[in-house]
Amino acid sequence: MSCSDDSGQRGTRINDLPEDILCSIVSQLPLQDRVTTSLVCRAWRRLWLSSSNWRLELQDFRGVSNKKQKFEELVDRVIFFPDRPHIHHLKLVHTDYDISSQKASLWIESLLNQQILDLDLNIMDPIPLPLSLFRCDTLVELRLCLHCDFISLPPNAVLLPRLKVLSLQKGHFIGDSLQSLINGCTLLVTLKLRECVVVGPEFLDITIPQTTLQEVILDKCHFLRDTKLHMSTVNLTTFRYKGLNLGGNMHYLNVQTSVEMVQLEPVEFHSVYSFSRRLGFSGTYGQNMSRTLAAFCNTKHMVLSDWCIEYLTNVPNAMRFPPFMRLESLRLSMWPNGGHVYVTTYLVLFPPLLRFLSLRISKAHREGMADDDRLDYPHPPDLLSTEMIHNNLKKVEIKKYGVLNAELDLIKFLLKNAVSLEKLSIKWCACVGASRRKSLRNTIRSYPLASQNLELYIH
Amino acid sequence: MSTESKEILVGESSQAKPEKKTIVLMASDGDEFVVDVDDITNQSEMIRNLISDMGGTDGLQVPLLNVTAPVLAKLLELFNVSNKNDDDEEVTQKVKELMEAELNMMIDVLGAANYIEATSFFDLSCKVLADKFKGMSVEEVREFLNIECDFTEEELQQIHAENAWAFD
Repeated sequence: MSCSDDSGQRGTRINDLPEDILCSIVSQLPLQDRVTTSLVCRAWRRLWLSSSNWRLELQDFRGVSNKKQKFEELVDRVIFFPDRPHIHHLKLVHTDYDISSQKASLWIESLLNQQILDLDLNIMDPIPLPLSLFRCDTLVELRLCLHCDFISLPPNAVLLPRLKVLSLQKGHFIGDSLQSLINGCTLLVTLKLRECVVVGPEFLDITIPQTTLQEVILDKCHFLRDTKLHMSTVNLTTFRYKGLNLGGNMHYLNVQTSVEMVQLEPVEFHSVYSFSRRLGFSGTYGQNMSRTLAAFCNTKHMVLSDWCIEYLTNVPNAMRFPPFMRLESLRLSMWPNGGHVYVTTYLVLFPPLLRFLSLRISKAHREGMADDDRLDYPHPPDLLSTEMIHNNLKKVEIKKYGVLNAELDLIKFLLKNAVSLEKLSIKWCACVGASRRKSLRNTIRSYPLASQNLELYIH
Repeated sequence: MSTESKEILVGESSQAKPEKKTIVLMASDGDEFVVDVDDITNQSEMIRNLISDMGGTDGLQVPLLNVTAPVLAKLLELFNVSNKNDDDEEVTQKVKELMEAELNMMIDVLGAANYIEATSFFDLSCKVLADKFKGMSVEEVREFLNIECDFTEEELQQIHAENAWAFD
């Protein structure tokens, strides 16, 4: 492989390498730099077009005159480039596509013939997706942004035998189309649904039966109110939920013993919530949340939004979840009131392996968030005066700390009981003035410390 | 190390750790390199397949006709860095240093990694090289890689016209 070149330098020059290696190098470059390489020398002229890995986004053509046409020309050149190995990975973002053009169907057809492995399509106007896309036996990862297009898939229309990752955004699924799609992915590992809607005449449960399933992410989706979610739990390790109506969807969750990472971030309309509470449904919110948490009894990492905490303040004496024997890190958001401090303390107190705690305290910017507005809530039991040595807690961070008395009590409690605490950092909420900060800093510094080597950061 | 393993073998034969296995890689000039089987199969798909085809590692000698001794030595040195670290940071740094100091050697290493199908090391090295000429002008790329421009002025203009969106 070694040879001498004209300049007398020892060793191999880059153009002595086989073309596929040169192509691998060029493939590591972003689009603009790839094109530059076509000017290097004759051997490199068409190298960039033979890459099997593409990311084509209209926004990269910003400032180009007639950009839509130029972009589509490039996509044509890339997808229909003759002598080269197949395209294996392609991300195509075309947000100014004209539905009357037939190009997109031809692109997809060609990619499917090229035995594509990884396809990520975001085309607007939404195009009718060919059924052959859902019967491709090479696809391993499929990501589709559907721009609120209605998707109707007959049962048994889908067979994606190698697909591991299915990510769908803004799809409106008619009837059991979503279920058909899930059923056709026999080896599914990751399912991500973002801003998806299920439209149907009747209540439809969603079942993900694949035992290969490891990760489920549901982000701002709208299912029907009583949609139940059934998942295979054999290998599931990550579950993330963001959006409305957690109680409704999760009502019938089985115990997910395998889950190691759970993120529950429900949101709620304040008006709907307080109306339901006035109608007497406060206990239901609390019990559902309590049961949902109990389903993730073996989790190692947990993220909870302020609404999770809020639901639980409705049933302080009836929280029913195990002590999370394996929990190592806990991140949660809360409102500045006694009820939330109680629930937080309860969550922090019992997990024996908990090492990291992050609290984010939001301002009481709405009615019902501060203590004065919460006279109709059950009075929480006193937890903070108990003695409870916590052996493993090492790091605590508190963000947007607004210094309510109950919050101070929580800090006092942590300092008194966490014998291994190494770092406590507190960031103030902007509303706390300088003199108040100073006096609070002194107050906190005067609290008894259980830990011998604590670094205290009070910003 | 070998005595230690044998003692364990006598004590509890069924649970004993097997002795570390090695194979021999032969460079194009005949130099032999003894390598740990786990270390090399961790990197090289070709050798992994070879061992499974041969049904074992006993006395296995693998001639690498395309790789000279200095290149193989450098490649094994980098594999060693890669095997010792969980993330790629350290080995990326070493490949970068090699590229800056001896580009020709780095190119040979890249060819050898491709030849023995050390896929992840190969991809990492391609990335290091590509990162170097990211953002460079074409003249800078040519200079860095020591490539002569063999285009005519007409051809250059034609390429410019084909990809006007990228160059304007």
